[in-house]
Amino acid sequence: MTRGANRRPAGRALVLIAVVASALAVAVPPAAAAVSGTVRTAGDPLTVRRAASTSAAAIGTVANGTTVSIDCQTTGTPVSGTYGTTTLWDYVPSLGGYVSDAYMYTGSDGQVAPDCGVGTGSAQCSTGQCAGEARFRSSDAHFVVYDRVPDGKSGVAAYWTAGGAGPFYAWNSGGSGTSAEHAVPGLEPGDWIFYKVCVADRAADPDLRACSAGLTDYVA
Amino acid sequence: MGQVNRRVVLLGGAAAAAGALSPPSWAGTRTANAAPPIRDPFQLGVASGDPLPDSVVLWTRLAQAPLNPDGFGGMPDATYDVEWELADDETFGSVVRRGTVATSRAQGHSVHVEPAGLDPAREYFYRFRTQGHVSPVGRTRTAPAAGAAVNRLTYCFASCQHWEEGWYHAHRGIAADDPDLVLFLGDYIYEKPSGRGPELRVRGLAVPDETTTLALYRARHAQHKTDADLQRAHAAAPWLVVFDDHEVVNNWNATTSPATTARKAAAFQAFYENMPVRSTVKPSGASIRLYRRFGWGGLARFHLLDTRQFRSAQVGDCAGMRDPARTITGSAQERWLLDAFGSHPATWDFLGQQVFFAQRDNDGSSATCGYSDAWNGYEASRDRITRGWVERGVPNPVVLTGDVHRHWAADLRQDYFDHSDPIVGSELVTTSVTSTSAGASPPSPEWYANNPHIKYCQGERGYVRVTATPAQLRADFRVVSDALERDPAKVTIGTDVSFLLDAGTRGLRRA
Repeated sequence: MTRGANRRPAGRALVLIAVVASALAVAVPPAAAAVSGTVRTAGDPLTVRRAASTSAAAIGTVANGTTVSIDCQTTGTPVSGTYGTTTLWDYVPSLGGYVSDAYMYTGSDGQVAPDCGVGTGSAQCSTGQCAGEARFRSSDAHFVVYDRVPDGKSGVAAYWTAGGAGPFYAWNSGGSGTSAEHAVPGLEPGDWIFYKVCVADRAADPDLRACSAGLTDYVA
Repeated sequence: MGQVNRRVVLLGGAAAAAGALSPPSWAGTRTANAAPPIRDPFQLGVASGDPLPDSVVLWTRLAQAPLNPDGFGGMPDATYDVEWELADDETFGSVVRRGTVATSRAQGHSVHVEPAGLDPAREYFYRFRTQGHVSPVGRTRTAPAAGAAVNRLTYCFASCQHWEEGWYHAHRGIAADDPDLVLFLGDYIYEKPSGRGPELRVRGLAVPDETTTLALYRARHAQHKTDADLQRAHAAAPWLVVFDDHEVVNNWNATTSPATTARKAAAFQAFYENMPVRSTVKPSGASIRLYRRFGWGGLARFHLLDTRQFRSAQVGDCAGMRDPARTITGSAQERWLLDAFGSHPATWDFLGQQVFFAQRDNDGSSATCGYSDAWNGYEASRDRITRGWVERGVPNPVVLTGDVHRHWAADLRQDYFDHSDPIVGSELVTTSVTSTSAGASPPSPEWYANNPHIKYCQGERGYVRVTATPAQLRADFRVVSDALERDPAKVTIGTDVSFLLDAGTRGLRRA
């Protein structure tokens, strides 16, 4: 309820922006409708993960009681925490990744932020043990692809953009524990990109395995 | 910038210049939309179709994230108001109709507008807007008035465009031909990924699962609509679209196998949402009124058929294939077609439909039968339809066909085994836009000797362009030099052969 009251002025601002933009007949990028949440654990810090899975790489922690800005939410592996069991994960750009909504006070058990991605970056990992992980950086249209398991396979992001071609591939064939950057060519601010993260042998026509469901993000 | 670039693609420089300006008619309007803000949702382009003398369907579908596996195109579960405009000119200086329609997830955020009271035989331009995002501009036209004298009609027809098996150069060619109409005769999508080797696949499906649910059909259709060449062809002219089998599942029929009732319902709903068809085509569960008729003044009629929904299950034996109790059209559609044959309002009667109509006979023996999924497998239906147009004096019947991934030209007979039986019509079969034929080889001289009514076969990718006048029909069999090559600069689109048909006579002849 408190959260709702806090959001109302922001909502009005959005409508105003939309009207002005309409008058100019300019495309309106949706403003980042971030909501805030507060970490509530039994006292321990909460693990921040690169992707929305308990198998994803732990990339940091956030202290109990910290209030953060949640850009978007996505479903991942289930977690039981302070607020029950949920498959919802919260993307917190300031932390560089995802935290389980089971430990986040948002005022609601349901989804309070848009689906990821919203043009501020996102990440996914391959199914199972998250052997492949990839982050899409909206700010400069780059993938960072991680290989986390010595399974003899590469981590890869398979992606599609407007126009009808794809998939294109962002590979990491550097072996377990490495990361690789991949610039996505030809994109302009606002363009969409749909990607899945998989494991595969690097090849022109790879046999993609353990692919994530895929999501659409945008270039900032 | 994105908007301007897409207009350049669709309509050339003049439209691009217009896009850089404030659209005059929308400059002062305000909308207050309570739905969540979205990014540019016009990722699937625009289309028009089913033209009448006073109306034409305008289509778009909102999808800010067109490839999302849930089929919602990234659209929030909210109702969006979409404004539309129809104008005499591509800069929208002279708007003749405008309105607003609401759309939501129940219809996949698709928009079908049917403006009424338009002038016949007129070119129009249209576009959509929601939340400040403006769609690309499409060009369309209304049909000539019933009975009106029409000097010339140019249309293209195409079929079979497996996403993975090639680039849509054929659609680029269709758009460049500047036709009055485009017919699509089925297999717009395929329910499964290609089974071909990597050397015959140029791209991949984002959601490769077999389409068994509404979400999967929606996602599959949406990916097709992201193709720039397909968008270009849709924006260039009104389309008349029918489905064949792969919009549902391979070789489906009136029974619940291989397509269950639920699967048909899901496939029909996604088809409706993604095609510029009239509200009369809106499905009710597993029932859809796909067969319908369009006139083009005194020059032509198009009878669009549905040879899937009502057909008896396929059989493999000659006795079954010739059983008069079996049907490929169903009795109601057959009556609808035969009744129409009784009136002759136009020079040319085109039967736009899915599967090979003429007999194909591999061994010259009437004791053997083949091609059971085509009209060959429903001989009694073929006999009733053919006899129907002969007895009712249809002046110039021409069957238009897709399905078989090769160009064919054929004359039609009532008894194909009697090589002196009079020719009673002709059939033009378009090859595929992309779909390949596994192991197809050209017909042998012996095969042609068994099928003297068949004049031509070509196994390249392409489409057919037809130019009809009151005196003559010309069919240009268009071929794409290489559908596996993406670079348009390295691909040529040309006419392989042309056939002529003189009004009032029977039999195709080479131009």
